[in-house]
Amino acid sequence: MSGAITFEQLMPAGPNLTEHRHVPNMVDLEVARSRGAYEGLAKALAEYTPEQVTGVVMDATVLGRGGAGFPAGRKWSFIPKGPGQKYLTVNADESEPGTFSNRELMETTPHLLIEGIALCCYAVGASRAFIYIRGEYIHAANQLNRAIDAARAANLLGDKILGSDFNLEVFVFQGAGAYICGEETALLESIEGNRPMPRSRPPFPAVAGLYGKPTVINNVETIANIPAIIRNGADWYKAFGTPTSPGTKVYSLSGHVRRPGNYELNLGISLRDLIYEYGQGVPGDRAVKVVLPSGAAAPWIPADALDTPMDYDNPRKLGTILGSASVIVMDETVSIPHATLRLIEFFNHESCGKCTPCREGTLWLVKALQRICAGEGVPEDLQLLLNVCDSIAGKVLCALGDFAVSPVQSSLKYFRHEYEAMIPGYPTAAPALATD
Amino acid sequence: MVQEATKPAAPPNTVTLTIDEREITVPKGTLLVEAAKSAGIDIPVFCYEPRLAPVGACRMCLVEIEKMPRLQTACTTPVADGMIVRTNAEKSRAAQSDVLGMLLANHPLDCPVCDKGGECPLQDTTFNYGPGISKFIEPKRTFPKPIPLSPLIALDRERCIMCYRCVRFQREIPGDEALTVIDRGSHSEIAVTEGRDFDSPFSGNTIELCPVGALTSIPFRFRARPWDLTKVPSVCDKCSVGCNLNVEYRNNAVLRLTAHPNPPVDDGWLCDHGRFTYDYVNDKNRIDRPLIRRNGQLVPATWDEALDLAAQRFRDTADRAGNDAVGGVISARATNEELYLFGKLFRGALGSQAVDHYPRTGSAIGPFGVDALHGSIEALERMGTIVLLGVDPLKEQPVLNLRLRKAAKNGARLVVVSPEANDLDPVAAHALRVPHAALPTLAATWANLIVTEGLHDAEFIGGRTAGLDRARATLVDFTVERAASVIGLSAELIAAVGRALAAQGPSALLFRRELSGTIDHAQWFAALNDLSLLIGATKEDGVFGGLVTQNNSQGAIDLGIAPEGDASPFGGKAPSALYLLGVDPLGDGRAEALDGVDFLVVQELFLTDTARRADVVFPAVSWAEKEGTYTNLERRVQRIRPAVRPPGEARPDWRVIRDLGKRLAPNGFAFTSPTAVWQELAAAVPAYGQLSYGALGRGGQQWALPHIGDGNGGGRFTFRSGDLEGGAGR
Amino acid sequence: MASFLHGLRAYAKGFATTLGSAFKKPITVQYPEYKTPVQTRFRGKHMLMRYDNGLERCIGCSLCAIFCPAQAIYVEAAENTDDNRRSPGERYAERYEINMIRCIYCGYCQEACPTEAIVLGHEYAFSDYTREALIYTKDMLLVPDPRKATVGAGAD
Repeated sequence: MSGAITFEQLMPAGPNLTEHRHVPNMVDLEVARSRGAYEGLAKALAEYTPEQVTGVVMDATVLGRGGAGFPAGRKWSFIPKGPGQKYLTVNADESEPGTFSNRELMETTPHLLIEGIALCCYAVGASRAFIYIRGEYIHAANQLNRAIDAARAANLLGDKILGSDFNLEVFVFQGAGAYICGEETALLESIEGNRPMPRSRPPFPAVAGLYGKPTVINNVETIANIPAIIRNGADWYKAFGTPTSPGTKVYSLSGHVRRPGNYELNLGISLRDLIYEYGQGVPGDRAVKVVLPSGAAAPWIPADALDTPMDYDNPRKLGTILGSASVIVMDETVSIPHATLRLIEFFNHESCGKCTPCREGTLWLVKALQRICAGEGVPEDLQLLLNVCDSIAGKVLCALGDFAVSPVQSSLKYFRHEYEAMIPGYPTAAPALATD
Repeated sequence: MVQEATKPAAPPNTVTLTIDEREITVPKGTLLVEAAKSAGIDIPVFCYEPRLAPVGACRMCLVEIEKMPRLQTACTTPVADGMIVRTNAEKSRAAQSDVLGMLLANHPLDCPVCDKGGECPLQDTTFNYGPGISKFIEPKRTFPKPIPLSPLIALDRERCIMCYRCVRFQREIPGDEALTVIDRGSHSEIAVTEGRDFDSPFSGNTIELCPVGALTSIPFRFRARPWDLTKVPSVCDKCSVGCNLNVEYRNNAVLRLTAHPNPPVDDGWLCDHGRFTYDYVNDKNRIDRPLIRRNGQLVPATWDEALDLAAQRFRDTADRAGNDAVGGVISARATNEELYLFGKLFRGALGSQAVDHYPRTGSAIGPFGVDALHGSIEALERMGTIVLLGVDPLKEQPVLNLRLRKAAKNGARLVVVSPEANDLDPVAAHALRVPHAALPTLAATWANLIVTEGLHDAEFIGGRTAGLDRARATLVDFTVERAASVIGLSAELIAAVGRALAAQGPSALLFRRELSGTIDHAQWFAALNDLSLLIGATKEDGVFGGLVTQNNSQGAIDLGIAPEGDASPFGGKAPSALYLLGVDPLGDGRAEALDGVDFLVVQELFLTDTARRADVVFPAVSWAEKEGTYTNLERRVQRIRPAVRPPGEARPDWRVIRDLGKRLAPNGFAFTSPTAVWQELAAAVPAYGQLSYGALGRGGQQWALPHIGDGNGGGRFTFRSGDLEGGAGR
Repeated sequence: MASFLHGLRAYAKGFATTLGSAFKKPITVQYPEYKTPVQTRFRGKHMLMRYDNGLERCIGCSLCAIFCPAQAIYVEAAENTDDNRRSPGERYAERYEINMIRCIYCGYCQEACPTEAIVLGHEYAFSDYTREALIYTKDMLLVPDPRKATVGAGAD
């Protein structure tokens, strides 16, 4: 151990969200304020009307970082103007396999999120905000609560914030360990004390969300982008990233890489740069077999497309999405059917059970894949898997059901021969494991 | 080629859309599935149920809508103008078949032993929309076979398709959390909420709501296949709501009762008491032949012997001790026809005024001069304010309770005043604990408050009522402060609730007829009368009335089956000869009613304590065995039909009364059927004369209140408080 | 004369048939001492079958009864308990009756049966003096328990 490489060097700070990731005690309000925390809020309350805040955010084109990539400014503009209770709900139920960027943001720089919340609530006229945090994130929840208490004591939250007419209370709501709570309407049900099951839309949350009131739901990272935008202006923000995907993104890199972790980079970086430059390549210099661009959920990117820029547009050309940019790398040692089974087991375990295709379909996929992996598959199984995927995709109540089929569809698209090799008596049996 | 037809302009608040190449115009806000249904287009559903909020869970109703990228659930999508929907296109058909394939994947193939088999929506939908064969070759998910959720309902978790209808019903309709879902995803199962019992008085409805055989009736378990049962539509006789039901029987045994929806009355629900109380009809211990007392013992006799003896002794008693010495009491559960004949037997054939029905409550004549409910059960749904004084519908009119909950959900402000905790408290705007004895004071106080503060509708009071000034003078002593000291509630609360009652919008006032304790009922009814006028409960859109308790109490009131003068057979001077039809004073702890009775005739289903003391016992027949009509608490006359044959030699009750009448009067009892009795009854009772007998068997008909018939502003109402001597209840 | 010969010829022809038949093997049998063997698929008296472990196959589902074009079958079901187990699963036939003179021996009951419980056997001689006696009850139809019986279970 040389000790030459420091943590700071291993995980470099980014230009915006992770700028202060290595500053100790950023949960401390004084420390945070010395680094510019709440300057954006003070500026907005002093200089901007709520509509102007929304305008700046819309101008900056902050695309929703939770995965869908919907422009945050437009989402806010759907909230009806005028009096009446409105809510902001921050989705911090980061439960997707391979996602861990929100966790670091909340643990290291909680005031960044709280300032973003205050700005968003000011913009949409909400006086109550809930941070729905994954139940396992106990440290992050403690950090947030500490930060909220300090902010309230300093009149950065509470009544008449910084002498304005703006009132806001922020609550941390800890989940109980269900992936489905990351679905925005299931999240609302959970806050209301109900069984977390997605709601049927319409009505959309912007019309009737939490407790039937207009509600904005944004991801942690989306909200955390706001303070710097208000402080520095939309043009500053748009200088990062690509013209259609402005800003930076915290890429969570995991799997078969030497140096997994959170990297705040310009949107549009290629997977190759991410894996080889930042991730330092694959252990043992083995070949990359496939990349999961957004945890378990999104369709896969094969090894021959590693040069795809990871912004909001280019992955679509491959039939996939940037999603939460939680990149999982699988190298050549991975048995694709087994990996697929593991992913589908996850989706089956986490299915809420409300709608038939996801509840029954994922169980069906698990059982069929288990049979195939046990060497008891029959040649018809591959078509059956695709048929079951078709019966799920597009017919389910929420997006999570649509996600559930992507591992099966992707693996059969790129690695069908691995399945065929496992099925006894498959007509065109290929060699056991492809090693190209 | 075709001449262009002049299209009628679509009425406002409607939407025109195209479903399967058919143009349909429906009200705005209609759900697609309902719009299709109205055009005769079937969209398969499982989780959708019109009386419950849509959830879009089962995904069975996926349809293709033009310009929408994904298939949409017809049960959650409201119609929109110009929408083009295809329910039968390849994409939607494939989706329906796929979803069915998923539902069936883990559904056991035990239809042959499933009580739902033969009337199962899953079976029917599979035949209509499902895949012919299953591709599912994995082992099915298994659970231990049925577990009892309650003594009445068994749950088979293997069959459950997770439509949540049962959970949603319990939550949305009776408003309890007895049922829930435990576990998640493909392991989800319906369960009774921890720490609770599934003891809801409406639990049986979940059996009928369940679209598969997951929830089945334990009393009916394996008793018959649905196709073996014969269904006879009838009316429940367990309370005054008069819910419609089917009597389903096989081999002359009633095996189950199921809802026969009559939405204005019951919304298609039944309470468990109504649904599961039928065993007594099949009981082997029923009296099946006439009995007469010989040498101190009740012994079987022929009908002629028993009828002759009863008639002879009635005649002898009347001749010896006067006509009123022969008395009769008939159950308020008897049909109108029986009540009419009973009245005719005593008043006509015997000339006795000692005739009554049991149980009888104090008369509650409304400000319109009739003892009946103004308005209707259905109208409660549209109320702005509903005041319940001393009534607890959950105990006495259970299905009415559901209607009141629905009203609250529709936005009605409920004011619940009762001596003890009431099921409606949680949905009430105000729930006040007031003992019966203080209710008259409270009603008078509110009336006084409203009139003093001028909160009433002056136009209505001025134009349609008389006697306000006199009433006001009487009520003036009923101050809020005095009420507060009598009742033990704060004056502010009493005043606040009183003011809330006067708020605009249709209002309803439902009250208890019989209060316990020493109450001046005249003052009670007078105060109610006046309060109803002041809050507008007697307007065309209001509801006002005292809730009767028995299935045909209203019929007995309408037909005047009550004693005149002091000739009351119960409570007054006891008659020497007494005829009791379906009444058991000994069983009800009213032994004194039989004091001084020399000759007792009892007509009963079972050998009750009273029947054991009788000199002549006639077998009675149950409601499932006879024909006739009942009048429910909202004046709705509905027809019941015989399903099974009575046991042994038992004869319909109307025939027994008729045969006694034939023996006691030279003519007037030549009826050949209950319908013939109805015809005479309808001619004799004007309100019933307007009814169409055919309609009585098809959902029933309300007889018209005199003040409603004359349209707007015709009827006049009178304040009553001033009529009482010396003011109200000083 | 010609007509006489014609008549004689007719007699001769007739008696020739008689004589010819007199030396053939008779096709009638001396019932009931002798019985004609029936075809394998002959449909005679019904039998309610059992599994090898002695449990009844019939689950009392009534599908035979609803299929029966003559409405000759009556079934009442009941629930198995641990103390009184008659068939596998939840349900068994408490009463099972076939009106043998109503039955038209079409075999639909056998077709409809999901558990192959009812089978039409080869017995066809069961005349009696009253109609009531020809309503066969479950104990008359049920084959003996193979674990208790010493000979085969009624079937050929």
